[in-house]
Amino acid sequence: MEVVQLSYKHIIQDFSFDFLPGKCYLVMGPNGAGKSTLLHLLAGLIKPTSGKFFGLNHQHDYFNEKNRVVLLQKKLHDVLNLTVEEVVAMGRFPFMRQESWGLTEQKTAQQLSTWKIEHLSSRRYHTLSGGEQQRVHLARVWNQLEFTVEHGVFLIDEPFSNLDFSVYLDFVHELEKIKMSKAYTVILVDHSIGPVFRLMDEVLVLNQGTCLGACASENLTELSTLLSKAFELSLNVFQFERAYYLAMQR
Amino acid sequence: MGRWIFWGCIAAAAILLALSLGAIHFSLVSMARFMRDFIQGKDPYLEQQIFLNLRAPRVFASFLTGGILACCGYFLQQLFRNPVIEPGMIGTSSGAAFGASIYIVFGQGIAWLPTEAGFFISALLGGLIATLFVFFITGFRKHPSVVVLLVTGIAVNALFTSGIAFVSYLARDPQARSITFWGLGMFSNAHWFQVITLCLLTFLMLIGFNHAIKTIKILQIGDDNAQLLGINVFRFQVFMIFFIVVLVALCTAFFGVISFVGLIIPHIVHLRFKVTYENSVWKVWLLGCIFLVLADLLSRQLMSPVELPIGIVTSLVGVPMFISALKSRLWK
Repeated sequence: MEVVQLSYKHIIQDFSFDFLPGKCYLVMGPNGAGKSTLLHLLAGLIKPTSGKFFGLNHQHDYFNEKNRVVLLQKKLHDVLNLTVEEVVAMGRFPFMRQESWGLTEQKTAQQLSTWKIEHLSSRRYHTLSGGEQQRVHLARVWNQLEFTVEHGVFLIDEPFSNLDFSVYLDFVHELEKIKMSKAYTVILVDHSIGPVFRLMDEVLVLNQGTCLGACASENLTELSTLLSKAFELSLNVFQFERAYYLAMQR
Repeated sequence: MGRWIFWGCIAAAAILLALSLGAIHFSLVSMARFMRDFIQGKDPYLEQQIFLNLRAPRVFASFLTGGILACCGYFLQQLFRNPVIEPGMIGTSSGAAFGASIYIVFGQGIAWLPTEAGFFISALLGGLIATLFVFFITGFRKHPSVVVLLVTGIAVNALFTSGIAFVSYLARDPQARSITFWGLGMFSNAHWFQVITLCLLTFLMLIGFNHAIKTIKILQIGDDNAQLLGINVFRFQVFMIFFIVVLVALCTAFFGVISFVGLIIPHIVHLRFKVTYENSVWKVWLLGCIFLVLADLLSRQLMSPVELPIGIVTSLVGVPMFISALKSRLWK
């Protein structure tokens, strides 16, 4: 998927980038840099003031194919009076006509167990804690993923804010499966460099609505320079015994 | 299943009770005799005529209207995620009443238009204009807050109510009186044509709403998420609101403004029954039907032989309900 000179009001200005299929991208940048807006634009929830989207090989039908773009939002919406199981089953809604009810149920049950919320399945969504709600949404969004889809786009907006360590590691594990399947281009917005960093192919640094630069995730020196420039701090990304860390200083 | 039989029996009992009580009481036996004589084609007689042409259409009309209004109220509340709105509150009913009162005063001379059709068209136009007006003022935002929508509804309602007052000021006496009565709703003029129309509409509505409830359920996780699941949220909302306005305008054109049904019934259903989205339409519909049949019975019996307008009875029950719903929402 290629994006050319994308602008949205004053929030995103002339953003151009070529997202390669099956790769994982990490988007970083200070607050208000336009990261979430970028994801909303890519998901088609808001219309850009100017700019173009191209599908693979410059096909113009980026938004025309259904069920291809999956988004996990940062701000969760209050769900009124539905059980956890119902919310997770909603992920299968786009496929309801094609697949049997039994299959939907089976896939939903599988997601419930993946995200360790089987015991909550008949609870009402709004009675759960913030972290549990986040897990329900993870299960719902994962339920929507289809590994047979062609050139899917999976957008994730700061998923870690409410998660405990074990769910974080589950998330990394599940994301790795998606990466292996190569069905989706993953674009993840996050603020820190954590265990999920090792899955990332490239890092985009956003500042004030423009792409400050992108670099391969192995190139830690360049990444440190980019981040330091964006945050106006002295930031240093380094690797120690296969894990990545971020050190910061004024 | 047993519960459905139970509620079906209650509905049947309410209908029978409403059929038998009134200015003249009919026993079950005499009702059966009327039906038998009608089927055998015997010469009509006064009691039978009263039962077949006045009482029965009235009871069935109130039954079907109750269901339609309750379902419309329920869907508006779900669409806007706002527990205190109903067709009367976003201007639909008063707009329809305004359109129809204009037809009463100025439109009766139009010879080529059948009276029923004229009523319906003018009411539909009025209802659409008033509803559009509300959405125009709220700026077509996807989910205006409870307060914004309420205040806008009040303003538009006041506008159209004063429009009705103006029209009735211009009208001569019999017309003005009929506008006043009709603004409070009454079933005393119900006839079989209306019942058949309502039957068809109810059929369409139940099919449509039972289909739409799946989408309504998805909308609960937010418009953005629903859109990503392949739902065109804006188109769905516009279509639903248009459908609801048509239904409400027709009911208003037939029987006048009957307020609060769309508010009371969904509220009771949510307070008293365990509902899932899948079975809620049927529950709201059936309870609405039962409620309005009984309310109509009450309006006939309370000050017998004088008939109260049904709007007064529904408001008597509805206002406390409305306040409690508002309170639970705003003063939490």
